Amino acid sequence: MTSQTPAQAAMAELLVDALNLEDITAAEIDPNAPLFGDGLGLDSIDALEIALAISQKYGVQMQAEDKATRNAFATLASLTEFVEANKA
Amino acid sequence: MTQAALCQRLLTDALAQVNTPLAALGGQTGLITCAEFIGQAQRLAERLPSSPWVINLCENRYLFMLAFCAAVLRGQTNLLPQNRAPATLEQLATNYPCAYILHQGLDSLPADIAACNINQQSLLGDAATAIPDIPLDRLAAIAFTSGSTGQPKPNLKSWHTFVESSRINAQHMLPGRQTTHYELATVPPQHMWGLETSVLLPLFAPICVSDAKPLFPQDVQQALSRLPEPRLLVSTPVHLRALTQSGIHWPTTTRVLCATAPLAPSLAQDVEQQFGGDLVEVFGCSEVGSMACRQTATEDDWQLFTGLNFVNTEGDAYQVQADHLPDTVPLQDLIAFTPTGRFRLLGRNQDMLEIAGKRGSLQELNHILLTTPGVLDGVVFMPDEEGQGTRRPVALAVIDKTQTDKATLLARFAERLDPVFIPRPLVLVDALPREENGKLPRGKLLGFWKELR
Repeated sequence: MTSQTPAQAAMAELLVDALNLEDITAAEIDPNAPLFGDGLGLDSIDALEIALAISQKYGVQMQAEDKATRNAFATLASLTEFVEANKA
Repeated sequence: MTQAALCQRLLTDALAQVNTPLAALGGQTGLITCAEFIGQAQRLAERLPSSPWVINLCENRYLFMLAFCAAVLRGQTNLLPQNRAPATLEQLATNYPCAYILHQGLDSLPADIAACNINQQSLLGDAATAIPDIPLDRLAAIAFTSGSTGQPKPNLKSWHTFVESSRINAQHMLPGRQTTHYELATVPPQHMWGLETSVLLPLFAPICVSDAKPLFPQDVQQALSRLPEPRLLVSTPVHLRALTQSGIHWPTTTRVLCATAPLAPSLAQDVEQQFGGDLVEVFGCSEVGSMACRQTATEDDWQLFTGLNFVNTEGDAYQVQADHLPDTVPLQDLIAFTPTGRFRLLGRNQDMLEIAGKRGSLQELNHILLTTPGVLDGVVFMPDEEGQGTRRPVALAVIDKTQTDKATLLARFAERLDPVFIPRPLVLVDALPREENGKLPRGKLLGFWKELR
């Protein structure tokens, strides 16, 4: 796995906290592995929890109808990039 | 009376707002009148494959509604599975021979089940000039809920049940019977709560429903803003918590309806303050549908809907009885009536799981775990409430490592369950803290779980 950038590491912490993930530590999340489906196995309720945590921490609102957001949820790397690009 | 109209609205009434361009409608979006809707449903009904059973998997709320009503018009029964897992659909097709899947364009479909893509039909054409009648005894739908043995439990819904329960729901859930309310729902149309409020209610009460099923707060805000006032929002505690904590400014919403899991009074108060309307929490179950409501921000006790009776069977246990239900239904919750005729919930059934509007059974989860080859012992349970996040079932398993592993166990759950019910975490342990007689009391289990963490 590629190593996490500082921004990715912060986002990984947010994911582990928001989702109460028990089987994986923040440092273990591969920046380029899929978050949903076969990867971390996250689902729509997780997406909602992540979006809430992101809006509270970074002030960025996610939108499912927006293609950029859907793409952002692909991996830790893409999620971090999206939030960095959109935060105030 | 042996028949009732498909729709108790005026032909000119707005029934739905379509935001998504759908191939079946030639990509047109906007308001759809009752007459247009019925015309489209009749055209679809003529084109459906011949079969007594249709597995309705349409995801767009409007297409689901069209498919649902087309099936009823044609005399076919909508099968509404508890989830879309491959094993679930295979089982349905086995139990209901000749059933076909009606969908709006799915990438992967089970190879051996016939399927019909609603988006490959052109449904545009003349609007209806009359509202058709449906025999009351027609079996309109079978709503499946997770059963304790791994076999889903069928809940039979006749047209009579739907017509009467919708009339009762309209009376209790809506602020007034005259004005048209514009509804947005965050819940899926195929589970009972979404079916009652976002598919059936618009047929029988002055409601125009949006086809959107928004997930994130910003999506909800946009979809709500696209609707004229007065607005109605149908949701669940999980979604409402995300909405109220998002910091978004909400368009005035006259009425918010919430069900599927207990709602905290503080959250109810936040919702009322931020949305500028009343929040009505609804109590129900898949067997019966909605049964009672309360304004949770200011009331503790529930008002039973007219037309429903709770008959005391033993102690705090009750049965639900109503003219429009084929049988009495044992109430899964223990209740106590107050002197004012309202009632209080004393406790929820320990087996029932409700996550985000979907209902699961802990016994079913345990059944899946314990029937996995290589699992020597195991238990799936709900931990006690902690923090604000959505609670998930936890699984502890003792396995023969030469026969299975954690990934295999998780894959077995994933094949059979909606993702929200897949245990998290699943922890492998050397042994469970069973008593000598083999029992695993909840207190002991929770203590063991606490030590593990």
